[in-house]
Amino acid sequence: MTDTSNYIEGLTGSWEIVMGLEIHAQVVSNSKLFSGAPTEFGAEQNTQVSLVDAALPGMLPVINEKCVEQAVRTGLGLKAQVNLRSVFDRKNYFYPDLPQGYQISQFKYPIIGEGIVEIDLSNGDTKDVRIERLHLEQDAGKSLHDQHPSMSFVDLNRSGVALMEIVSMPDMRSAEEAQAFVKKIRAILRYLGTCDGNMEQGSMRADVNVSVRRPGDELGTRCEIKNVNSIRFIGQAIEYEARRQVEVIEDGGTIKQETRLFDSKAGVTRSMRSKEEAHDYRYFPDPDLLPLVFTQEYVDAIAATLPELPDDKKARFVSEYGLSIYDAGVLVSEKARAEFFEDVAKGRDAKMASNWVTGEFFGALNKAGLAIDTSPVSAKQLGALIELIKDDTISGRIAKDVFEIMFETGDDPAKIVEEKGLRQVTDLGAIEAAIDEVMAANPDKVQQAIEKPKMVGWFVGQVMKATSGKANPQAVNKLLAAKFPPLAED
Amino acid sequence: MTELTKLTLTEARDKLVAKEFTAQELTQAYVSAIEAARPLNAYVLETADKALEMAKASDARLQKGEGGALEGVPLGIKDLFCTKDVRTTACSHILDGYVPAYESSVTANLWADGAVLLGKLNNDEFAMGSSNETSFEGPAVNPWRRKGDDTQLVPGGSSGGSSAAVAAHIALATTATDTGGSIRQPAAFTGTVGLKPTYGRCPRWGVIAFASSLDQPGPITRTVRDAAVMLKSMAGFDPKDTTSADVPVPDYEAALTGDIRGLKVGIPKEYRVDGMAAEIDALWQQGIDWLKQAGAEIVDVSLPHTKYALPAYYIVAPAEASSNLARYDGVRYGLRVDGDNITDMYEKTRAAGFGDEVKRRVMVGTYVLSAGYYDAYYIKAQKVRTLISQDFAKAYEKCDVLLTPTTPTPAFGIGENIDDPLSMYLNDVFTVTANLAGLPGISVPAGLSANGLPLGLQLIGKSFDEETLLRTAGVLEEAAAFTAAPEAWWRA
Amino acid sequence: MYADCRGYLHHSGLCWLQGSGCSDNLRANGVLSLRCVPVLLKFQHKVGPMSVDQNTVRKVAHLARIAVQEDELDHFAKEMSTILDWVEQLSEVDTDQVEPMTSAVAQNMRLRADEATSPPLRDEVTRNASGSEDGFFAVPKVVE
Repeated sequence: MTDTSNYIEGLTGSWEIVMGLEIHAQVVSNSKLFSGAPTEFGAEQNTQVSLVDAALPGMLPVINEKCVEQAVRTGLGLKAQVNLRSVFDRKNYFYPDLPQGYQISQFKYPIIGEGIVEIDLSNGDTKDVRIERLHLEQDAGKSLHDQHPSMSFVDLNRSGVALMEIVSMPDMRSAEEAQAFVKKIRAILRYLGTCDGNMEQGSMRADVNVSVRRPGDELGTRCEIKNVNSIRFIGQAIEYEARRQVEVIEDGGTIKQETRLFDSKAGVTRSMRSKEEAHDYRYFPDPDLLPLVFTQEYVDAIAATLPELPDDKKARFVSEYGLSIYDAGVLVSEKARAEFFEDVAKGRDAKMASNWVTGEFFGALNKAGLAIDTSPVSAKQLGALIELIKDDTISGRIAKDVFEIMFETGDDPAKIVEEKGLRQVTDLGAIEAAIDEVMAANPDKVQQAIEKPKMVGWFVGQVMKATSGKANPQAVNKLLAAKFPPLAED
Repeated sequence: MTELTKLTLTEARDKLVAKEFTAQELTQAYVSAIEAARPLNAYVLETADKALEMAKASDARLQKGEGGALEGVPLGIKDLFCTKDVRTTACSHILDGYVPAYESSVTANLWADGAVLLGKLNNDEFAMGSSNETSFEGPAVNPWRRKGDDTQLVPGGSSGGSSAAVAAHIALATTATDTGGSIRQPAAFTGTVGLKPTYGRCPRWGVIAFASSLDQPGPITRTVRDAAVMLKSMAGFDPKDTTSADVPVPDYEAALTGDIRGLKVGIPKEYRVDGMAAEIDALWQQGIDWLKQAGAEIVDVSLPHTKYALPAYYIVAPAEASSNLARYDGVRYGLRVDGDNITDMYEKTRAAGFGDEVKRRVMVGTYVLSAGYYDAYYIKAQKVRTLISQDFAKAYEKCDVLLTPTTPTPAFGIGENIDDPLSMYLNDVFTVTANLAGLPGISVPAGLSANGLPLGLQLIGKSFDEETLLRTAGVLEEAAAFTAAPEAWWRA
Repeated sequence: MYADCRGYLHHSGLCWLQGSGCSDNLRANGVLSLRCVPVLLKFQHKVGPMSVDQNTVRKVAHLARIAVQEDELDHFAKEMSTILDWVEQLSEVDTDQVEPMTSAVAQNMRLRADEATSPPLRDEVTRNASGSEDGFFAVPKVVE
């Protein structure tokens, strides 16, 4: 059945957006793809540049085994074909941040072939997006255009850092799907430890190919939006670009295949005139390198070390912990979240753990702008809090107060409960005394409650208030029921 | 020529060890000879002070009996090899004033064995040429002249400075590089021995690249034994070069037994080309007879794709060069000609920095790699290369080594071919096949042309079998007993 | 026939230099190699040699970033034509069942350990630069 919900309405009818993505993901490695220069982010300009990275005369590339392993790992994570033989090509073009005058990449024979990724949509549906290929290539350096009135400055620290370019098929039909795809790829890479997925630092960025067509028609002409560096911007760029293309076509124009840039301040895409110039990259196999060949045993050995990936983890959370698919999806969307949850849930009430993690905990992190690794509350502490609820030391309501304090101070829940005297009153005598006190002070309410059993609720509130919320609510209800027999029949 | 500079490398080496003279004395003799030979334009940079300093250190080691295999041996280095803190420009304007902060693996190996750097030698710009005339530093001149004729001749190319220096006794031996014949052709033109090792035998790290899949460093020397000694020091596995072969380096000098009885020498009929000078043909026949007399068995073999080697080479080499030379853009080193914008700067810099031959090859290379032409040219040429390799493999089922002429003609005059790229390219017709197949080859001086110029015979060996190649070359050398030497006209 | 084929190559809008993006795809989907190159190979040696015109020289020179003056175009066109016509003889060789050579050494690629072995070399890598400022390489402003 055709899903029409993503169509965009133009003046002349419905249009379908078609998208394919190219994700550039920086490989986690100590040194660069073809040189021994370090890869850390944020170093002073040109301090992480080897003789090879600066393309000094006579320098030669030697491939980094870790980068190859990471690419294979990622390929396995994308359920993709791993090619036992691949070839590195030179992509030739001139640019100041490309010292060799060519980028070493893989054109005809990439290390990874076709694969598939299941994306999770907000309505709970999933959808398969096909991967066309993944290949290894060198990153370029960085050109700074705003440091000097007439000069551009070049920093080659990134030059030669290993990238994986992951290319999808044009299988996405809405901005949400494209965003979900990027999120899913990022989650998989993080699970695998092959890319840190940090889009702000540029370790992951996407080129989005957008075209529009009448539903059922052939693919339209596409525009490529280069280097979009956040998931939010990907959504905005697609929404804008699709609208723009519909307007152009509906005005009787045609879409010109071109490279565009997303201006996040103005929220628009613009044609990149500098890239308008005809390109002819003259790919050919790099004669300084040899074909990259490895065995199936090598691939199998890497496969044996693969961690549980998000989809499998989600299925397990549903079956093992009895979580809803939605909650499981939220928890596995990031490796750190899933790990935190499992630490909390271990040996405890998993559903309660899930509620606390996805509810109070994520809410507090969000509000404070913190991430799991910077959270003031550890999984162990949150688990301890849940234990206090389960063994009736505190009530669920008090627990929320305790959690707030934990989040502010980083203290253990037991300590907070003790210091603040928040231990739940389960002593029936003490609760009964409180009830009697409230009843004695409010004879009129007692009368009303006898007549209108719903008024008993008022007593619950008063008793809780009198005990600063520490009275065990079940005990209060039970004792009050004994005082007001009709309630018991209710 | 002093008595000291008359010696071969192996003789000098032995006498240094025997303390018959010091490395400083030997080096000083060469330094003086170099100064006296400036009309040859063989050296583009003389490093006399450094040479004497290195010689002094060699003497100290020799004194202690700790000398390396080449201790105190003064060498000239082709300007394609990067030498630390010593200007290296590949004789191109675009690398003006470039001073590397690193030492090429081959030269590092030589210095580790105790050799002494006399200076940097002239070559065709980026090794693109067969006459040394494309050098930005001007042509090197062949020490040889035609009988009764003072026309200045080319020393061959691209390693023209290397061949001229050895022939003129202004270096004991030299390093060179061979992409299509750039070691063997200059050796043939100057009456010297030129050895192109198997691709992967000598590391390319730090050697300015012309065509990566074809370039191979090797020595030019006065004798086959010298070549064996030089190769032993230059060769070796280098983890910094992916194409370097991780195989042991044999003792090549020990391979020079002089015994080739039972060796099968292949004679490829396709090397008998139209228009080849009768004297070259006669020399080839002479070589066959010499080897036969030494006990070798002569076998006729066929290398059917030989005629396609040169055109395939002139697709593959320019294609790789067009990409290898993209780094010379004025941004990080060398010449920069300012422009209105970055593209203008690139275009002006490269137009001013590259000579005509380099431009021609970069443009042909760019063309054959461009979309729509890649399959028809580059892929086609690489397929032909496969066929050429297979030809050799088949021939080596029947023989151990091949004997051919090195060049179709003796040395020609400076300026005679420079305006005709194709006839210049034809110089490499017999040498280029070994590069395409990655095989080792050696040129040995074997006789003189009618007008008194040296002629070379080439042996092509099996992959990584430089031992058989050198052993056979040694026999050829002995039989030829080539003792002719150029008159030292340049000393006038 | 041959002239027509050339015309197709240069005016179809699918050929090299005829628009960004297309050249990238050509080899991948084989538009040119399937539709045009066999025609080219079939007819060129029968009908006549290929030659490079001035416009082609201009385009190639720009791709190679070498400034060529108008009065040099003809010279370059002739020289390139001579060389390219000469290498055309390769089309005589039947290579249908032949794999292109990928390397002159019969070995697989060695891999290096993932170690950051290169020390900071800023001075070494910038010391030969014509333009450098504050540890950066400096070039005429690039307009994005």
